[in-house]
Amino acid sequence: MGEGPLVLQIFLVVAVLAIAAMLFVVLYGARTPLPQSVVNDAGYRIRKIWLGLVLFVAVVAFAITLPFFPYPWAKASPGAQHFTVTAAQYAFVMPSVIPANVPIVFDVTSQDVNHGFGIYAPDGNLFAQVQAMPDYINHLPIEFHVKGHYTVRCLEFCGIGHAYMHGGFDVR
Amino acid sequence: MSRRGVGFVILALTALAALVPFIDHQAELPIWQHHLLHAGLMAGGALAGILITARPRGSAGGSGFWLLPALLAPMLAMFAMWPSAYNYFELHPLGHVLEHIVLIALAYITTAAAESYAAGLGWLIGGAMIFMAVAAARGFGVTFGNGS
Amino acid sequence: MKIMWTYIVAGLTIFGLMLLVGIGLRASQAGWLPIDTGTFYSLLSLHGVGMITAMAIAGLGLLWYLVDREIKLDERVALLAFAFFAIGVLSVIVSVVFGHFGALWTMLYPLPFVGTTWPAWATGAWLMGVALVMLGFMLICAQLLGAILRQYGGLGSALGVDYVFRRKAFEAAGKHPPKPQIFAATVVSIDGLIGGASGLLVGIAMIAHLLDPHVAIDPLWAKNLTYQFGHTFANLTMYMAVAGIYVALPICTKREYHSSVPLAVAWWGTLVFVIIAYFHHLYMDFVQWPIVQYIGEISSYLAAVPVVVVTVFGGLMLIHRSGMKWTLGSMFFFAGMVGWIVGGSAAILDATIPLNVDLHNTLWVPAHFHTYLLEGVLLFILGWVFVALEQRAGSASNAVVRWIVGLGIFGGGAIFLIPFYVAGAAGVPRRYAVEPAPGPFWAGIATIGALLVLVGVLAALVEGIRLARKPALSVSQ
Repeated sequence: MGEGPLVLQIFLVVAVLAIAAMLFVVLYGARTPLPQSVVNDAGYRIRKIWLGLVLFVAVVAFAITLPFFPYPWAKASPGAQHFTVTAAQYAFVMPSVIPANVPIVFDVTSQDVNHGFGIYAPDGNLFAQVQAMPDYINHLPIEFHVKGHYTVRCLEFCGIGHAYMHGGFDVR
Repeated sequence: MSRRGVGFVILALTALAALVPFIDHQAELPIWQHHLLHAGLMAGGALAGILITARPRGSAGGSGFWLLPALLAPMLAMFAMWPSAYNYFELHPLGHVLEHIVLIALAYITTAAAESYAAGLGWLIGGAMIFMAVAAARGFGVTFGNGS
Repeated sequence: MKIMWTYIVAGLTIFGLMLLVGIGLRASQAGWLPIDTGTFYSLLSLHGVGMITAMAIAGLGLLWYLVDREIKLDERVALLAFAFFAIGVLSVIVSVVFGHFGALWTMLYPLPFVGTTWPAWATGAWLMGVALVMLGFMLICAQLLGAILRQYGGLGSALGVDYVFRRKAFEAAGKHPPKPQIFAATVVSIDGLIGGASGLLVGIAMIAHLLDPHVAIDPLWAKNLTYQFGHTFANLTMYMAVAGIYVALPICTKREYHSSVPLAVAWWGTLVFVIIAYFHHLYMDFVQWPIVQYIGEISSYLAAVPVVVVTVFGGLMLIHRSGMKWTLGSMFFFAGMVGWIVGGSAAILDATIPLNVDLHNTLWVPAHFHTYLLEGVLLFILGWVFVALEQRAGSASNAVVRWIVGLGIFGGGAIFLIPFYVAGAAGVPRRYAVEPAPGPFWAGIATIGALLVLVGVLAALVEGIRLARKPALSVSQ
């Protein structure tokens, strides 16, 4: 939900730490070689802790993300207002005004090929998205708290006009 | 009974099953069920191919060129499961039985050729082929959309 | 050796050509090179399928050679597979250059049939080309897998099952587990055959639809198969090249890399996770069966465990205080491991469902796989090539060459990659011939970075040729 810049920061920190750690392992004591058996003894001990840590982080990260799944079956939205969005090469047919601060469900489909229904918040960040597929309707539950103009861009390659396929709506 | 013997029995039973359209050619199955029945026939042919050809484990294998029929036959089998031809076959039992025999033969060739190259490979390539035939039921010639 | 060099040289040649195409595409997005939209997508289609094929061909050459060292393989089969690759690549080029095909390498159904600007034969030529490449790939997979089954007397032994579960009896019998590179070959072959089966199924369905439009195809089904095939194929290029670490790093460090229980178990994990991790491509398909969304996230996370706990950890343990000399070969291997970890971290963030909402189909996606392929797979292949050349010539490159190559490929690489990440995090969509702001600005920076990468690649090429032309040191190879 518009967390792109935060993700970038997390990634840059992780990348710098990983590169620094790997460089350290390779450069530390490089001028005074040790026999492989000595390195292995310490290495295998560290690896056991490392394995536990990695598994722990993986499971905890998984658990933390569960409540934030964007799916209709993961998010109860009783009494939500439904709005139909139909994508086709190369435009979206959708309402021009969406109410703020009430639960909404977009019922998204496509008349021809796969498209992506990508909603950009007034600050320019990608706010929510769902695929628009022929033969299927994807239900996107959402609630807007910030009023203003939201831009919609196609987020699945759909042909020669893909880059020009956009629209928008106002949240009031 | 020997492994080969079991293989021949399975082949014979599968061939019998292939004759069903002669008895019951009025049945109009949805495409996906039809695909699954074909996958069943192919499983019979594939199993027979393994059991009849099987070499002892770890034995020296045959030429690597056996792999060509082992990989091409499953592709041909998918073409033989052409969904829009199913309507025609339901009205023409002879053609339908021939289609079944082609599918069984291609499945047999797949695993027999793979086993001829290396013992055990028939299970893996045969498995991949059955995966294709079963998976076909979910969308090859049919669509299960939830709307529009 | 002949097969290996044929494959690697062919793969790297395609890489070089596709690098030039890629630079053109980024320059076009920066507004520096006038490429019309139709041509842009044709070239993007070519660049995508070409790069994956290039990495696969080079990686398969390496893997084929490593298996051939343990179990004699029939060269004629590898040559036949090479013929399939060659005809497939030719067919794809004809489709793009003469047919102006432009549905990209994912060719997501029903895209190649609806609202197209190219003739139907171009779609046919493209599908046939990709099918031939898959056939060549599966032929090699089946050849390697069959040879391994023969040698080890079954899949269980080839994957070290008895070694892991009955270790005392196994070792008491004087038996040894398969070498690490054999684990890589087994896993790549099995997953390759499964991915290939998915690809061929959806490909045949599309060929059937092309010839007979009455053949319906389920779009969700086609999407699952397309990504099962596409993700697996792309992901496996890494595991092919990784086999090189097990053999070449011990040469660089004068140490030994043995199979162990953790290594065997790690490869079992890879065997499973590579097949099912593709679910993360369908996170934004809310109609997808709910359980697979959970499986997609957790299996994407767990796919990292074998990498960070076993392969890269083991690689670093080999290098640590080994007195390894920095040559182009060893430098590429180390940098490849760094690129793998960095690209993998980006992939894991993207495979987190609540974050995928912000990143799916933005430039973040090409950001992670360009890191993974350019600073991972490619470097392992180059590392392999240079370790072989250095061994053969008995000498290495001087520091000036190392700096030029390193600054070009790693420094230029960072300047090329960071714009993808920054623009992706800002929500700029991928696959836009004309990008919204801040896309074009970052495309310009990326173009400069890509040109520096080109300089580094050319320097490595010249240095590679120089080393290859030196007289062989001895007959030790």
